[in-house]
Parts: sequence; C-alpha cells; structure tokens
Amino acid sequence: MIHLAGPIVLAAALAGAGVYGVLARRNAVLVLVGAELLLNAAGLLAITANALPAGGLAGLSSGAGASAGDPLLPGQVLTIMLITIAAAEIGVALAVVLLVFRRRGTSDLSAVRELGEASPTYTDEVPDLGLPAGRPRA
Amino acid sequence: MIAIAAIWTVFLPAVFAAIGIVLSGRSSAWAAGWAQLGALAALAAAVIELSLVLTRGPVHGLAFLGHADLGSTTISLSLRADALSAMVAVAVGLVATCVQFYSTAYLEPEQPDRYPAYAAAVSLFTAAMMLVIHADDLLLLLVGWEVMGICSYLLVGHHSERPSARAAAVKAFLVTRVGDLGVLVAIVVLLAGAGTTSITQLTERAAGQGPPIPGATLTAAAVLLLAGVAGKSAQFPLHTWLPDAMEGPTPVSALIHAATMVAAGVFLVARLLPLFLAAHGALTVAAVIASITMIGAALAAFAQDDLKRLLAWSTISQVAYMLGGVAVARSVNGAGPGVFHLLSHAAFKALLFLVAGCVSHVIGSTRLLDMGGLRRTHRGLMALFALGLAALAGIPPLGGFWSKEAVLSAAESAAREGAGWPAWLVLGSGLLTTLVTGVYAARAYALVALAPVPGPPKPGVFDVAVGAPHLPPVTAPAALAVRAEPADEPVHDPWLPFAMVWPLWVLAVPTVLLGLVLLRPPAALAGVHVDPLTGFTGTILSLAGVGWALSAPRLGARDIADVLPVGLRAFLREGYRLDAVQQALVVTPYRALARWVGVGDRDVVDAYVRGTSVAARWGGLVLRRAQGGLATGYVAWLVLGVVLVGVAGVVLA
Repeated sequence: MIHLAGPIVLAAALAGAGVYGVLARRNAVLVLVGAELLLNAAGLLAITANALPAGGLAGLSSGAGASAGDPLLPGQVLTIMLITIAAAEIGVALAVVLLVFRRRGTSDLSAVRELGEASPTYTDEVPDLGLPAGRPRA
Repeated sequence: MIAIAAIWTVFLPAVFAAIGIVLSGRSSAWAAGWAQLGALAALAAAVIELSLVLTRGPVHGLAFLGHADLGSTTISLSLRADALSAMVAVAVGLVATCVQFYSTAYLEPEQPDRYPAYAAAVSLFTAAMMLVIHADDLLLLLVGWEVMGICSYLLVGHHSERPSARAAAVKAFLVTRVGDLGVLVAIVVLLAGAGTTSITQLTERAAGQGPPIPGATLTAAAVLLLAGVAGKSAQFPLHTWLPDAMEGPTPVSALIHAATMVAAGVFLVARLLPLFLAAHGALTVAAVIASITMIGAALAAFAQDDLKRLLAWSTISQVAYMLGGVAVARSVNGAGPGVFHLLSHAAFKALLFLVAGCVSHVIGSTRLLDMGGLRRTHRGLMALFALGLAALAGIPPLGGFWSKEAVLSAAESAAREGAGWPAWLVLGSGLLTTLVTGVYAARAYALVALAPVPGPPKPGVFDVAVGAPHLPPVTAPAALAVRAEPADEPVHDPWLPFAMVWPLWVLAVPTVLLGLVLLRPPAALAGVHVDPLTGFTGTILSLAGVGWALSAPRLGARDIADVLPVGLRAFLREGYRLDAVQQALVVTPYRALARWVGVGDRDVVDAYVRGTSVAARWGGLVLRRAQGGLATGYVAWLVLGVVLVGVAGVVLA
C-alpha cells in the first residue's frame, strides 16, 4: 500500500499542467490535451479521496487507521463515469477541431472568434445555409 | 312572528330583485313582475309587522345573520322591530310598490332592455332601506346605508348616455360618501370608547341604564354621525348632490326623496336619539344645520325654473324640518314630531314626484316655462297636484299640516321650557320657511295648472286650450334659460297610462288622511301634539304665501318669481353658487393633489422600476465586452471562478 500523499501530489501536478495547457496554448489540440489532463487529475483525486482515512488529509499526517472503506466505492465509480464522459467529449471536440482545420486551414483558437460579440470579426448577418424557409410571420 | 315579518321586509325585495334579474334575461315584463311582487311582499310584511308591533310591543335582538367575531369584540348582526321601524317600513313599502308599478308605464316602454337592471336596483334600494331601519347594530346599518349609496349611483345614472346624468351620479355618490365616512369613523369611535355598536345597548347606556359611555366618545360619535346624516339627508353643506340627482328618472326621484335615502339620515337621528341627547352640543349642531337648510332650500326652491329641481329643493327644506323636529327633542321619546313629518312627507312627496312624472310625460319637458294650462286638460291630475302641494305647504286638514305644525309646536314648547336659542332658531326659521313654502308651492301650481299655455300650441295636443284667452307669455330673461336639454326624456303624450294614474290615488290617501293618526297615536308618536296658536300662525303664514303667489297675474307677472331681481334670482336658482364654492374649495385642490400624486407615481415610484431596466441594459452593454470570441478567454473566467470559490471555501471553513 503506497502512501497517499503521492497520488495527491500527482493530481495537483496534472491539474497545474492542465490549467496551463487550457489557458496558455492557442492550438486547439493542445487545449484539448490540457482539458484531458484536468479531467484525469480530478479522477485521480476522487480515487485517492475514497481511500483517505476518517479526517481526510489531516488524519493522513497523524497516521490514524486505514481507509474509511466505503463499500460503495464512490471514488472509483465516479472515475469510471469520468472516463466515459471524457471519451465522448474528446470525440466531439476533435471532430469540431478537424472541421475547423478543414475549413480554415488552421487550428489556432485566436483565428476563429467570429461568434464572440465583442470580437473584431463579429457580424450580425446570418449566413445563408440553404435551409428551407419557415412560414412567414403574420 | 314579528321576527319573520321584519326579516321578510329586508329579504323579500332583495331576493325578488335577484330572481328578477337572473330569470328575466332580456324580457323586461318578467323583471317588472318579479320586482313588483317583491315590493308588494315587502309592503305586506311591513303591514303585518306594524300590526304585531302595535299589539304585542317591540322586539329587539332578532337573530338575523348570527354574530361577527372581530377578535376584540363580538358584533351581533341582529334586527329589531319597534314602532319606529315598522311605521317607516310601511311607508317605504308603500312608496316602493307605487314606484315599481308606475315605472312599468313610465320607463319600461322606452328602454325595455335596460328595465330588468333598473327594477332590480329599485328593489335592492328598498331592501337596503329596510335593512337600515331594522338594523339593531350600527355595523349592519352601515351595510344598508352603503348599499343605498351604490343604488342611488346606479339609479341617478340610469340615463348613462347623457354626460349630465353620469356627472350627477358620480356627484351623488361622492358627496354622500363624504358623510358616510363620518358614520364609519363614528362606529370606530364607539367601538373604541364604548366597546359596542349595538343600537339597543348604546341607546340604553346613553339613557343612563348600565355602564355610562364616556362623554368625549358620545360627543365625537354624535357629531360624526351628524356628518353622515347631512350627507344622506342632503343637509347643508352636503346638500348639493340632491338637485343634480334630478337627472335620474322621475320614479327614482320619488323613491329617493320620499321614503329611502334622504329619510335614512333623519331616521338615524331618531333611532339614536338617546345618544344625541346625552352628547353635549350635538343636537345644537343639528338644530343649526336644520335651520339654515330649511330656509335656504325653500328660497332656492322659489327661484327654480325646473319642476323637478323645485321639488328637490323642497325635499331638502322638508327634511330639514324633520331634522329640526328631532333636534329640539327634550326626552328619549321626543323624536315623534320629526318622524311624523317623515311619514307625511313620504306620502306627499312621492305623490308630487309621480305627478311631476305625469306632467313631464304630457308636456315633454320638466321646465316650468314650457308648462301651463294643465287644469283644463288634466283636471284629475291637477287636483292631485294641488293636494300634494297643499300638504307640502301645510294647509289644514291635510297630513302635511299636522306634521309640520307638530314640528313647530315641538320647537315652540322646547323653547318655552328653556331649551335655549337652538329651539327658538328652529321655531323662527320654521315659521319663515312656512311662508316661503306656501309661496313656492302655489307658484308651482300656478305655473303648471293655471298659467296660459306658453308659445304656439302644438297641433293635436293642446286643442282644448286653444280657445283659452291666449295671453302673451312674459318671457323670462334669456339668462334664465340655463337648461338647454330637458331633465327628463321628452315623451310628449297627453294620454296617461293607467299604471301611472292609480299609484297617485293610492298615495293621495295618506297625504290627506294621515292626520287621523293623531286621534289615537301609537306610542312612538306619543310626543306629537299641535299647539293651536302655533298651528294658527303657521297656517296664516302659509296661506299668505299661497295668496301672494296666486296673485301673480294681477300683479302683471306670469311667474311670481319674476318679482325677484334677475341677479338674486339666478343666485338662488343656482343654489347660492355653493357648487362653485365646492368646486374651488374641494374639487380643484383635490384634482391638483391627484395630479401631483400622479406625477409622484410616474416620476418617483415608477422611476425605480424603470431604473432596473435601464441598469440591466447598461450592465448588458458593459458585460458583452467580455464576449471576446476567444475560447481560452472564457475558460480563464471559469478558472478564476473556481479559484474564488475554492478560496472562499477554505477561508470560510
């Protein structure tokens, strides 16, 4: 049985790298990688918390007893769900990134900001998407 | 048995009104039938009640609507049946019945689709008055009092297509409401000071049985009640609504003036007389109000150019007689003369108004200038008119003579017994008013019945009058012709339906014979006596007035009021221009206040509401700058939020 401080430090390092990736990177793929790191940090922390003794981190340093031992293992259950959600999310997000790259020839996030009202390239005009016209309003 | 009769007088008109308006749909004949049935049933119940009360004595505390628990006190919503309420109930029932039948001929053919609502309102009016006169608790009385207010609004404004009728209805409602406020506050004062609003308890305690009521409470309550009396009974200075209420249909005027509404105020004073006697100074105030009103209204009646307005002013004057008769009371049984005059006035004033309705039906106008010569064409009608006017003027041996002289005799004996200057004031003012009453009553008869037909006779209508010596009518100055439109609808039909004639004869019976009651007066009228000297003086004065008014043709005038200077006449006709005073003192400041309140509401209160929308708009304009379109920018906000929440969690934990 390893000491529980290790996974906690690892989770903190992963989260820090993830935040850096999300905030500082311009490339959409690397931003996604940062998001994945954040998710995994959260999962690791959840599993670790499940194994913490009563009293949490404070109880850990005083060396009191073993884990509270919740038979439902909520940390593990939550992490499995997290992996599933992360898989779905990365699938959708990569598809969007792929489409953006095919259209614009770049995956730089600072080059695709038309949807922000305050962006310099924002426009009110609705592009003609060739959809069937709705019923005219009375 | 008495209980059933008393409750039925209240319930039956109301129930039949509801049935009539629900079942009739648009058939006015059904509505009229139900309303007539209700009035007849109320009359029958009132007669039964009167006979039972006279044989078995009064009953107090009839269970009616149970009790109302107000927390600090319990109010028993019960009725009482005594000679006072029973006599007035008979008068109300009689007049209401006559009015219901009369209206079917007078009003129904003209606007049948409106008649169900009209008939129901008249029935409800009757029920409300019955509630007022039977209530044993001031709170219950106030309910009837207010229902009468709303019914008068509905009925005065019956011809709601005319702006003047709408204005008169609103005026009647608002002016009487000023007085009603007094009654409401008086009830609160009595609840706070005496702990009860039961009329039986209040009168007993004020008369010295049981725990006494504090003097300040008594005085405050009595003066506040007087405000309500002045409003409902159209006494100075709240009388201005009554002449304008002539915009209502004539049968409604008969109902309001004769038995309900204006009688309610005097009835309230008579009912609570022990309270007023114990309250220091309240009856003095009442005597002063009555004295001012009776002479002032009589002079105003003298100068009117419209038959209905003349009768309206005479009502104000006669109600002031009743109030004066009650105000000079010296003992708890002293309301007799005032109540007796109320009863006789109910008979002859209802008769006069219904005759006036017939006259306007025949002439097609209510302006006195348009009238004349009716003695030749409508002999019976004019005989009844003369009877009513003679009773109004107090000519013996009609009912009006006995009741009016009873009031004057009561004032005189009170004055002799040391009641002080209020009694002398009522006596002097009353005698003077008798003279003026004789003048204006005779003037009305002279103009309607005796005067030559004005203008070119209309073909086919006044054929009979063509042969009469056609004197050139003395045209009044143009300034006098103020009423551009007639107050009543121009029917202009010389033939009178039977339903408009027989109620007149019914009402003529008590008009003539009411004096016979004094042969064996019931207990409630025990205080009524006619002093021979006072009666003689009053009759002489009245006859002098009548003679002077009838001598107008010999003085070279068509209208005896022509002797008045034009300015004075206009001043009197417009009711001393009190409407203008009211306008300047109340209406204009009130409208200004309303405007300021409106401004405050719009620019202060609403400003906050609008301010939130403006703030949200500007906030949106600022916050939308954050929508930079850069996805990492949004995430930065998210991370900042998470950090803040985390820090807050650690710090607050």
